[in-house]
Amino acid sequence: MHVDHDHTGLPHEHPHEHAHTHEHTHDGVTHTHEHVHEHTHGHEHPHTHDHIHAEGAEHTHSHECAGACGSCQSQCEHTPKEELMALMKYMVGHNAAHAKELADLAAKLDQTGDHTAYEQVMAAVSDFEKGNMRLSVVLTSMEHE
Amino acid sequence: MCLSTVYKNKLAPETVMMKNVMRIECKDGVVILTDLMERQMAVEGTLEMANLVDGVAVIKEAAV
Repeated sequence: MHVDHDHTGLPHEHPHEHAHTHEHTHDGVTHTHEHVHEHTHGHEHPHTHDHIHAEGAEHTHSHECAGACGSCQSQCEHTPKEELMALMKYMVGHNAAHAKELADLAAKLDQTGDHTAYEQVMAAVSDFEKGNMRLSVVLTSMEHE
Repeated sequence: MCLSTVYKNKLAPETVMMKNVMRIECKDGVVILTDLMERQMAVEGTLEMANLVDGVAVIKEAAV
């Protein structure tokens, strides 16, 4: 997640301004005043990312890596188990969303007058949720290992 | 909806660029892939195909 700019997170260029102070001489009188110039050179923004770690907790921390996450080896490296757990956590949430979609579909079937189909789909939703609950329990136990 | 596998130029096992892709951004001729672990990969090219049912996408790499 980038908190300061809406960009890709990668090194990039866009116009931006810097305040400068210049010394000028007018009519034999030297004085200093501030100018604001537009620059278009490349630059880096410190930024933050959300991460899911082994404990399943999402958190945000700052990087000074110019957004090149592939090059970040220190804070962003995850073990295979961490990745599997992140994937599993995603799937549990994803399955819950699918279960809701199926329940909505069942309700529409009921509205069409097909109550038998509604009951069958809702039974499937129940089975689906039981399976997902089992996954969730496994995930929780893994998080506490 | 689901995570995808992204391939380069053609859909074949040896051309897998990134798995578990959760976001694909196309900007200024660059396709930026982000996976579930927030790792990013950028490639110059275009999104040629995305099959959201099968969870696959193909990036056509720009000619050098």
